[in-house]
Amino acid sequence: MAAGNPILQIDNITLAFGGVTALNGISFDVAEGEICAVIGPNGAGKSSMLNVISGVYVPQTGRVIFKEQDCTRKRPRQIAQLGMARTFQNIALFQGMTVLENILTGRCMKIRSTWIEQGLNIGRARREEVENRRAVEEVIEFLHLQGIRKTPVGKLPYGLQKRVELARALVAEPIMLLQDEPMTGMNLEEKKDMSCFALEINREFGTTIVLIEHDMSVVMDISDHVVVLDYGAKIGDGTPDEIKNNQDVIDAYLGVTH
Amino acid sequence: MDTFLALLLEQARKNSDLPALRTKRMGIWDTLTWAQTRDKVSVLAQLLSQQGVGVGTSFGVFGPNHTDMYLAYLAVHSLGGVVIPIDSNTFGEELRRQVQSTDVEHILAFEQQHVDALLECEQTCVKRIFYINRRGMENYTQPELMSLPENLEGIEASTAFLEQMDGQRDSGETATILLTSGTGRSERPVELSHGALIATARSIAQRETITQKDGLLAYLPLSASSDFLFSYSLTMVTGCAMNCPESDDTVLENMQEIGPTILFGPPYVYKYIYTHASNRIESARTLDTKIYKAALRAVMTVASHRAEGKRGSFVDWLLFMFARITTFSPFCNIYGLSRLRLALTGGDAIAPDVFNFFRAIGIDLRETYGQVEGCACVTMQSPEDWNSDSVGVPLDGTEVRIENGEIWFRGPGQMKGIHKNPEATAESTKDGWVRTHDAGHLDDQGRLHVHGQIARMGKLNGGGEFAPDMLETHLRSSEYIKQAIAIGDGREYPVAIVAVDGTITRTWADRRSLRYTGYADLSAHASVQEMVREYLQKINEFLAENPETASMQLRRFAILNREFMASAGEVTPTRKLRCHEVAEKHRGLIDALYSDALEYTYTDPVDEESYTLPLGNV
Repeated sequence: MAAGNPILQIDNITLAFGGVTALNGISFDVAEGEICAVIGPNGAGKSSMLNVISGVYVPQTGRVIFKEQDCTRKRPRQIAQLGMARTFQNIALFQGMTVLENILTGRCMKIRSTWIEQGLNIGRARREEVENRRAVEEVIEFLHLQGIRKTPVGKLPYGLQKRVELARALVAEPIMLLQDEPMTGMNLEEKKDMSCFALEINREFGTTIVLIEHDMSVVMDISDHVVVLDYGAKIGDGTPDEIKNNQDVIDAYLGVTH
Repeated sequence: MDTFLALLLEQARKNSDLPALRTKRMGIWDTLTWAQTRDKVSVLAQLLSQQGVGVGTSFGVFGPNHTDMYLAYLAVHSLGGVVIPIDSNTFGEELRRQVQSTDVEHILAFEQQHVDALLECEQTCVKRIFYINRRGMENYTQPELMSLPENLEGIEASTAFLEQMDGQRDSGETATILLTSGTGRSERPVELSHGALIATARSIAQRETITQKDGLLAYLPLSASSDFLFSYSLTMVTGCAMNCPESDDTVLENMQEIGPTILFGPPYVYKYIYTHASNRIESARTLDTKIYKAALRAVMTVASHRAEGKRGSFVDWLLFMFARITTFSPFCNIYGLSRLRLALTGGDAIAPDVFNFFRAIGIDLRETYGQVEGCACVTMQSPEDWNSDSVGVPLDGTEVRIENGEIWFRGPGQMKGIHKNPEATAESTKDGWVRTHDAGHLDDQGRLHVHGQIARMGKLNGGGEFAPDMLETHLRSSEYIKQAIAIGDGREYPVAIVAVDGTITRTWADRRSLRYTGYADLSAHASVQEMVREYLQKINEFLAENPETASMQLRRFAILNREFMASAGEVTPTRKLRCHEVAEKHRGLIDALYSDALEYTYTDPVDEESYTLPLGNV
């Protein structure tokens, strides 16, 4: 997917918790249709960055511009309505519900019918039910989840739970998908699958993907653009090749004697 | 005229609005009626005809069990072409060999994965690759590729076209070339005619009165002869509904939704259900376990009476009926077996315990015996056969005879010959009889008993017969043992390599609070070793009872660090063990079993890790 105009602009973000500065004057752009990886060692501020983008944290300074709208002070729900969906580092699914039901919750933004209509299964509710189920089934097919449609999420292995979470984000038909460490704790094969899915989502639906990863080897092959954070500061921004040869990045990852 | 096209036209006339093919897509069962099936086939046949598919063209069908695949069978058969079904999981050298040995010129691939596998194969005579699913295919520019959905647009359904084709068809035309499984001998491409397949299917249908009201599940690999006979041919002959599961891992769930009335499965399918149930009972509450075990005892008592031809007491019968109604009727419902009126198994010997279990709980399970050379079914048990030792009597019109201990057969279902190999054809046939390479005998009631493959029968060094097939059937009888191979020909004593069933052994180990990290670790655990040893001792006791088999008692065994796998070439797509390959691959382990060693360390080529297997004395 060829990269287009910036869809997300991060402009001079600073975020501090009490005396701890998690993010310090970060700026970068994410172009429409690209896969952008935000990498960095532990405690670099990656998840904080994602939480700022999705509206969970409000930064002290700076602006987040998504689809040419200032989202810095918007609530997460409003941002989601603009077409942003995310997955979480620690799986945030309803453990007792089935895979199908969990994915269906991702459609809540698309529901227009009132609870009365839904309760009586009349009017818009009926049509929406069918529409939502179809959307869910499309994603189930896309991510090969047919075999576990009716399995309670709590019974699934970790790698599959991650995939269900991705399905729930995808079913909202996002323009931009944020993935928080989608490959942590996975074995090599699961990582490969997850990378393939990211590429396919990007290609099939043209979804812009911002993914956070601790392990840089996995993202280098799939991303168009890499941003490197360390101790809350941006130390690298460019194509994977540029990043591989960036001395600051190498130092941050391999460690240098100070 | 007995051709698949004639059958299609007949079904579309007689049963036009009844379901023919169903497939689950997007969570919903999509149904095609017989009339719709005919129309779809006519459209596809016109396109294929334009593309040069005609009489005798080898047409590969490569993918999962899906309605579109079977529609392609019909379209190719309408044009007089030869269908070459290829299992969805084939790739690399094996795919190349299959495509080459059957001279495939045109091939239908289901989706990207299959197209990729085909494009990697070099030096084949494939001229055109059709594909169905367009996902991921945007950037493919190879000239031999052709998307089916796009090219089918604009072609009108035409029954007249099919009728015109029907006039040109002949029942002696080759319908398919199927490869023999190659478990004992090398793979050979066997040509089967429309007439042979239809006669075999018709004979089964008449014997069991299978009609358009029945339904079956097409879930076996396309390349299996049993799928060609029991799914495709049987559906076409009877007009019953064929249901295709959504994917490989939803078969059990789909079976529950469909509730087939007819089911064919190789023994591993029944073993799987049996083990799955045992496993759930193992981990159930104590009271539930007790009720289940009592119910099982009640039905097994009556089943064993029937097997021995005895009349049991009225109380036994009462308990039997009570257990069936209260316990096993819901049991069957959970597994989608409650509408089942005919369950068939074949292709390999079924473990007696598994067979007895299904007969006891009220499933009419029958053993069949057949080979690719005889359209997958030559003999079949009757409802009165309560024992798994025989494989029943020949189908109508088919004869079986024994010559020098080897089983030979002839009948309407026999093959046309081995593809492009007159020497092999001559070697396999004599005066119209076809040899099976299996040893067996007929009993006084005309029932056939199969002893095993002749090539595998051997002698122990100390004298005494060695029949590995029989030993392996006994080994697989245990719910904890998934696969096993017995070795002993030309050796001092018999030994066995077994692979335990991961799921149920885990439950067993958890109950005993054993500590282990994974399958390999568990299989090498001393307690598992001990459990397998106890089981082998039981087999030995049984063998010792008969002077003919006393010398076949197992002396040593090893438990493998993984199951035997299709991807390593160790089992066929229908999960039969390829004994020759397994023995070759594990030569070092076998040699260690014939030494005094108590351990064997090797690097498994599958994951290139090193494992130490404890070797046990029985």
